[in-house]
Amino acid sequence: MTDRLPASTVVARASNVAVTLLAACTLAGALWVGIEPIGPVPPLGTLLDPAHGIWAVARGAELPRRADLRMTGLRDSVSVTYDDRGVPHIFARNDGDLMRAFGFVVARDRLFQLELQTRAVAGTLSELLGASALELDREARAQGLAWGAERKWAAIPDTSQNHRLVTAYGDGINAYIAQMRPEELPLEFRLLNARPQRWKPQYTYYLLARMSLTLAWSDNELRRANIVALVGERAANALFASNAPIQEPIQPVDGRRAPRMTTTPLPPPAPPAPLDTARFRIASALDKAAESIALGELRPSPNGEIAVGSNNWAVSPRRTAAGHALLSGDPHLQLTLPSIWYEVHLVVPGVIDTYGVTIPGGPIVPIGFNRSMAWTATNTGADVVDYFEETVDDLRQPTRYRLDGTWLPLEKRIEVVRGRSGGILKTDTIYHTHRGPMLRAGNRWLSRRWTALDITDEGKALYRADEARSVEEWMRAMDDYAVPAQNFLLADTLGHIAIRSTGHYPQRAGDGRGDRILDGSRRANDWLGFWPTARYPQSIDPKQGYLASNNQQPKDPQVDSAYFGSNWPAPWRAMRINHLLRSDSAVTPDAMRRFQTDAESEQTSYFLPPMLDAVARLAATGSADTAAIRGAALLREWDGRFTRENERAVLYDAAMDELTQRTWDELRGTVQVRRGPTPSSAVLAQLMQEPNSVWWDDRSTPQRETRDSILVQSVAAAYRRVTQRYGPPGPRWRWSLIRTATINHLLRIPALSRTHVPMQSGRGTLSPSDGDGTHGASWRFVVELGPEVRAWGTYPGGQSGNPVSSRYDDRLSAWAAGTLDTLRFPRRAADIASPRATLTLRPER
Amino acid sequence: MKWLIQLIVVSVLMAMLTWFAGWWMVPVIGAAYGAWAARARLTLVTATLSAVLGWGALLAYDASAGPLGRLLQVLGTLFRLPGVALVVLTLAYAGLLAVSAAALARSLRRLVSP
Repeated sequence: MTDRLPASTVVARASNVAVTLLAACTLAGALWVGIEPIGPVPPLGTLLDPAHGIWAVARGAELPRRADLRMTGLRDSVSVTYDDRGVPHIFARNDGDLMRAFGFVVARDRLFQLELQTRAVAGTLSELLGASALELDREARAQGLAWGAERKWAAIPDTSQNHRLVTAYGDGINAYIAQMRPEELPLEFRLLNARPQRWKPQYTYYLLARMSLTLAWSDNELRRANIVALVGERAANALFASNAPIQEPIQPVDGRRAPRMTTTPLPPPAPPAPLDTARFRIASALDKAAESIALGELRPSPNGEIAVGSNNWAVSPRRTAAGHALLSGDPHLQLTLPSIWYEVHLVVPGVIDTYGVTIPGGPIVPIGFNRSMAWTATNTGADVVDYFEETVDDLRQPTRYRLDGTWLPLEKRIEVVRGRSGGILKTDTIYHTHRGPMLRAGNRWLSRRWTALDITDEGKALYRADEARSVEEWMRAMDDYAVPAQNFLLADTLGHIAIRSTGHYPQRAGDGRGDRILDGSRRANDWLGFWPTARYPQSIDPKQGYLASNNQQPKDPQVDSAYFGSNWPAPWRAMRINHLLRSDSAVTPDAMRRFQTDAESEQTSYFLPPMLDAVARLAATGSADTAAIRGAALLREWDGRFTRENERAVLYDAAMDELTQRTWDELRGTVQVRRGPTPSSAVLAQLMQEPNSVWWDDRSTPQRETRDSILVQSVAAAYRRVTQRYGPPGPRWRWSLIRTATINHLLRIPALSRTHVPMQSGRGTLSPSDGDGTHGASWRFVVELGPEVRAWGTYPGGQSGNPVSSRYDDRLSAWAAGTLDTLRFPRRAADIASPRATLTLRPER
Repeated sequence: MKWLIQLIVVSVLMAMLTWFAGWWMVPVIGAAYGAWAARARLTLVTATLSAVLGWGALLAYDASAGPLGRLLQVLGTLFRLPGVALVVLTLAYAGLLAVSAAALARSLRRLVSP
């Protein structure tokens, strides 16, 4: 017989078991969400931990006032003093220590940016962001950027200065990662539940490859294929010509004070040919690949016009108020937070004393100044990419390609894309000919030859250039520079100014043109070599007393007819800055600053008067539509300026949109590729000289349109569109409400982005802006090369990549207002008044 | 008074061990306290409160050492929640870890030695 427990005890025990189970389940659940991510939400334990989780980001937002750290590999102590603008001034005793400290401070402020841009090139974003980035990764690997960068790095001798300095810079990044305090882990890593990867020195070359994709990429061959199908070869050649219809070249033409305009009529369009669908597929495939990871300096707006672009100009001492050479740099790129640029001052006494902007990951100052000179760059837009249609033995799984009647083996590269957990998401095989990687489009295989994938060493040239003491020395140092080709503008304290479009430009067989897909089965179509340096577009101390470049065609074909590229942006910005510089014989640094955000455009004089005249002529006959008359009356009130408070610029902008769309109706009705089949507005200006050209006719109407009827229709349509969207003329038409900048966070997280920043920019102004405002002036600076070099500058954003830091976007308002900060250029760390923070790095004992 | 001392000691332990070891120390301390004070009154309340106070103290330190307000604004926009809701969530999570661990340990202790 067993003793029976009292009922109350049984109930109590049962209750205790139930509580135990409940507590166990609750604890298990709480621990599970603490350890495991739920969808996009990181594990709550590590996220919410107030000591090490997301809250710690606040503690790491500002630099500690004083820090004293040990670093492996240093030979001597390095002093880093952050000035009131958060710019680190790094004082070291040798170049190796300088680079270690440089890597350390860049990582301290921009660690996530380093990670993301490296992964974008390597095609390993999926390991960080998950399967959503798979296509980006596949495209990046197909481009072969990382493959090319690895080859470059492998070819640099271990004993070279460049190898040593790039390695030291990487060591600095890794030293920071190794000693990083918990609160310093960037917010983005916490949100992604990830840790930074170890930096490899070759990642510096990944960055260079990325910049080459942004600046030295073109697909004119593909756009041209579309246009040929639509309007025929002759018309396509004229619309996307290798010579710009308005010539205002970078290399000045002696005695010329006004642009030279082509007077040749545009050949009429041929009837539409059957669309070559394979070509469209090729265009689409390659265009998509380029879009995926390009930062896109020269990206056209939806209407096809290249709406962003860089500027630089320099003035000789005889045309400046103080008698010192002046230089202005204004590179335009995609605007991001944090910015693509990081400001820094590098000093090794007697060796280097350079101030400027660097791209995180690149241990050089590509744009900046030293005690003797200043340098800056715009993109050349030269054609350094060619496509070759290859004959392969098997369309699905090729193993060989045919060259001059012989079958040659294809090289294979296996690319494995992994996800966050390390599992394989996709395996791709990339084939290479001797020219470069191949891409499949329909039933065709194209191989690509691109200067960016050649084995060249830009680092060596750029290091030497940063230390140059005169224009001449700088140009000599950069003789070997290959890619991305840039219009480098220079000025020195000796009073010299110079410009040279520096980089490798292919010498091609036949007519030398590279804007058509070439037959890959013939070796004769391969590049023959590169232009000699002496042939680069260049000018030193020109008679006119100033130099400028704005991405336009660098040499007038009347001076040198060699093919350099095609489909050049309209030279409105070049015309405007040349006009401003011609009109001012006593230029000041402040005038240089004002020019950077000048509100006028040379474009308007080509289009606005004919628009108003056309409406007036039709109104006189009594047959003009009311909208056109009202629109023209409002446009007559416009002062031609794209200022923030302007209430008429919006109407001109809309009228130009309408005019572009109505004029080029022949190019509609096809697969739309990103680069858009719309010719430059300079071609439209050329057409304006032919009032009865067949191009003005709208094929969709029974009547025959002329220039004037299209102009009137454009004004009327613009008036209707603007009033419909913004109401009657009034404050809602203010340009500041319409043309704004959009500065996205690198991951496009809205909370970390800054949008609707009012801009003073318009069509053809020196600071143009495209429709979505995602591109613009990425860094503006002015340098006066007097006995003491003085400089002013700013960029949209701030030095820190931490969105909570006061240094994340502290420069944004000054940038939007067009003002520049005074840049501190001390000779000694002690000369920095009220430093924001100091960091001393000492060798390991 | 004794309870108050216990509360302070456990709160300090919660804060310090989170600081030095990590968030997972909260359920460890909660469990230890639950087992140790299995017969006491207010065991679960003490465990919960000390976790909330310990993490609250760490949050207060974060606020004194950096721009916590700006962080709240950023996180609020990011997660589409009022910033303060994230503070509440953080403290609630600490409390939940502590109370569930303490309750489990206390119940097990009672089952083992009724």
